[in-house]
Amino acid sequence: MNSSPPPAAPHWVQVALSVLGILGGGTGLAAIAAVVVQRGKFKADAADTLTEAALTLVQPLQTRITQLEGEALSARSELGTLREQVNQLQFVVRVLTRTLDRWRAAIRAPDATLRKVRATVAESDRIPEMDR
Amino acid sequence: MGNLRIRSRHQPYEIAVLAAAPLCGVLMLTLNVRPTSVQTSMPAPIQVAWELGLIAVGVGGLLGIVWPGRLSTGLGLELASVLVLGTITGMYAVAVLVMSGRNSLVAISFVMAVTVGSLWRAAQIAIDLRRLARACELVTYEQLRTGVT
Repeated sequence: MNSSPPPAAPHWVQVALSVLGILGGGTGLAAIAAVVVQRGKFKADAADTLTEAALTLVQPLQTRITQLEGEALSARSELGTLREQVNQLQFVVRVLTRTLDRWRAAIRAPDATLRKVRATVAESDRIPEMDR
Repeated sequence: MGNLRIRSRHQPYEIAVLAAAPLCGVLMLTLNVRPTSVQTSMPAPIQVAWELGLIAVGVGGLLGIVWPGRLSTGLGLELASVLVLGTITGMYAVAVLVMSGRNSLVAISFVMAVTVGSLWRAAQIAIDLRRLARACELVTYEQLRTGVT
C-alpha cells in the first residue's frame, strides 16, 4: 500500500468498522450455511416446483374439462337421435300431404261419386302402411 | 394453495453494482492502491478482508444470479453476497464520513444507497426462500393427497 502511512482515524472508528466487518462477513457465511443446512427443505428442483405447483392449480380445471367433454359428447349423440326423428317425421308428413292431396282431388273431381272416393281411400289406405 | 411467486433475479442496479465490485477489487489489488479513507479507518487485516470481500461478493453474487442448478442454492449465494455487499459499502460509507465529513455528502449518499438497496434485496430473498420452502412442503403434501404427478 502507500509507503507513507496516512494519519490514523480515531481508534473507535477502527474498532467499530472491524466489528461491523466481522458481523457482516459472519452473517453472509451464516446465510450460506443456513441454505446449505436446509437443503432438504428444497427437495424439488426449481423447475419441478413450478410445474408441479402449476399442475396443482390446473387439476380442477382439467376435471372440469373432462366433465364438459362428456356432456358435449352426450349432447351430440342426443342431437343425432333427434335429427333422425325429425327426418322420419318429415317423411311421414310428406306422405300424409300427398295422400290428402289425392283425396281432395278425388273429392273435387267433377265426376266424383261416393264409390270412386271410397275406392281411392281404400287404395291409399295401404300405401302409408307399405311405406312405414 | 397460495401462488408461488419468486421475484425476478435480473435487477439492473443490483447486477451493475455486483459487476462493479470485483472490478474495483481486482483493480485495487493489481494497482496496489487503496482509498485513503479505508487505510486510515480500518486495521490492516480488515482492509485486506474488505478488499477480498469486494471481489468475493461480486463473483458470488453474479454466480448466484446465473446459477444453473437449484433455485434455492442460487438464491442463497445471492443472499450471502448482498448481505456482505451491504456490510462492505456500509463500512466504506463510515470510513469516508469519518475522513471527509460533510464534504463527502454525495459520495456517502450514493454508497449508503447501495447499502440500503443490498439489505433490502437480502430481505426480499429471505422472504422468497421461505416461500419456496413452504411451496416445496405444500406440493409434496398435495401430491400425497391427490396423487398429482
